[in-house]
Amino acid sequence: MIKLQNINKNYAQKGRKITALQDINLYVNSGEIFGIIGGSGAGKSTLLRCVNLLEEPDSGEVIVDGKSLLDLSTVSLRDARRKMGMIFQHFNLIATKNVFHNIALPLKLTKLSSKDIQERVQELLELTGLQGYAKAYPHELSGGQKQRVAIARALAHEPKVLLSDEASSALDPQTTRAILSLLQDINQQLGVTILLITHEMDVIKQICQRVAILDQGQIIEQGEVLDIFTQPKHAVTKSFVATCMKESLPSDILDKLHTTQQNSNDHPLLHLAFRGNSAVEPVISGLVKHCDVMVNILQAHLETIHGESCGAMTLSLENADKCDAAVDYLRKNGLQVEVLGYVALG
Amino acid sequence: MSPLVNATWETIYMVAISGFVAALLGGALGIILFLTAPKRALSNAAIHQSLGLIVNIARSIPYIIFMIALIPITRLIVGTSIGTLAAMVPLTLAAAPFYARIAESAFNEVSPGLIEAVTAMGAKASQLIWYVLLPEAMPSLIRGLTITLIALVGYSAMAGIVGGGGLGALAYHYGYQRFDAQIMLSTTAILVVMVQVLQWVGDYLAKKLSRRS
Repeated sequence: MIKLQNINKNYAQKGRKITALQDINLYVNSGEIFGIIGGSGAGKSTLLRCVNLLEEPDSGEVIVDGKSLLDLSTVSLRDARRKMGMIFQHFNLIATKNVFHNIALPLKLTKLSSKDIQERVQELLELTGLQGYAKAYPHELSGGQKQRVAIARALAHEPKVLLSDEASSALDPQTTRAILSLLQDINQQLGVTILLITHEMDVIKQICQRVAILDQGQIIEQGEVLDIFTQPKHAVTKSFVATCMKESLPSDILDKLHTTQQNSNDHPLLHLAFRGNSAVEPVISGLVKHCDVMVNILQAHLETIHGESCGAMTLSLENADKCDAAVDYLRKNGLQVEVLGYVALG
Repeated sequence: MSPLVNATWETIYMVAISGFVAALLGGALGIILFLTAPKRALSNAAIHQSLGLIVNIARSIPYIIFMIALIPITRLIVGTSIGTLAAMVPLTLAAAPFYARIAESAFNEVSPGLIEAVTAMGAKASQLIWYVLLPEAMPSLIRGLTITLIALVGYSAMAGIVGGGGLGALAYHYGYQRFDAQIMLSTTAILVVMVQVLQWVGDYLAKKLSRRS
């Protein structure tokens, strides 16, 4: 549905060339929810805006629903943009117009009769759970309600694609969940392809099927969300996954962590990641029996992503000399293992 | 008291007509200045800079000089340089660039995110103006119009001195040249009331339209 090919974009700032996007290749399937995650300044905002040409790439191709947007005339580009809805972090509603007129705005840009507009807005109000708010003004609404208005407005022309620019980032956790599940409903019921950008791995975890990680204008990793969660390769990806898995070790342990064993009472610290229904407990019990090693579980976290469980665990081994054998055993049992280092505990 | 009533009406007439025309002209200029600026929907450096220069020149000339310098043009347009009608030409031409800058800054206050959202909807420049820029900037446009009208009340009094009508002429001829203190005080009082009413109405409308908490 969306195909970005070899996208490059540079800015000139005070005479210096700044690379915003570098050789971006991205393919979003029809009907999927695709997430792009990156820190601030990674270029995700620019990348999203390249899809509807709010930002024009310096080179590359943007193909949406089979049309190469960079080849379109101004008039055809306007038509193509109508088939793409867009929502924003700060909602971008018209403050001087009520909910009805905000949602009706994109409809008024085409030659629809006021009766048709009336009906369509009514449908959209119901779809987004805003019945009864037609006459309210934006300043009378909560953040979640404002985003619902923005979503209704974005869906006015029954778009095939919805672009979401940090749509939940200005909302509290509960409202975030409600807005994300609304997006998921829209995706499932209307078949709208959603491309979203976020800096929160939780958003990716909750609704995305696939994800791309953007760092300094480049896509450093992309794939199925579950794969990225259980087998992150790049350091940036790992740190995003770690924020979501709540796996930051207490600072007193981190402070004492060495990459090599420094004395005999240093214990190896292992990080395990697992997915699927391979229950981890028998593996740990097996490890204890098979390798004759004492295990201390420091941290464990379990997640369900798209109905499949995945998790992570940090443990320390009492006997450093058994470390290699333990890692072998765990890997044979299908776990991702990483030796974080050595630490003297207690 | 008839000359006073008469002069009051002349002032209201001059200010209202020239204010109305200046709002239209200046508003249009403000929109063009806004949209032709860099990175805007119709960005065009040549138009933006030349219009900006014209506006700046017109605004840098003190009104009393502007009015006199414009006499030939006034004659060309209304056939005479004396009277209420003639006074409205320089009033309008002075107020329009003044209001253009006010309108431009009112449009600059419209959220860039909203403009981006409407562009992403596939809106034409004309639709952007009509559905977004004008309604969103309206409270500021009205506040700016209030300032412009009050400035026009002042300018119109100056017009009175060089042959225009209105309260300025009355105060000058009766109050200054004939030492009529009563007329002097009365015209001053009427001008004060006029400015108060304008400010009050402007504030009320702007507040009513702003829809912000």
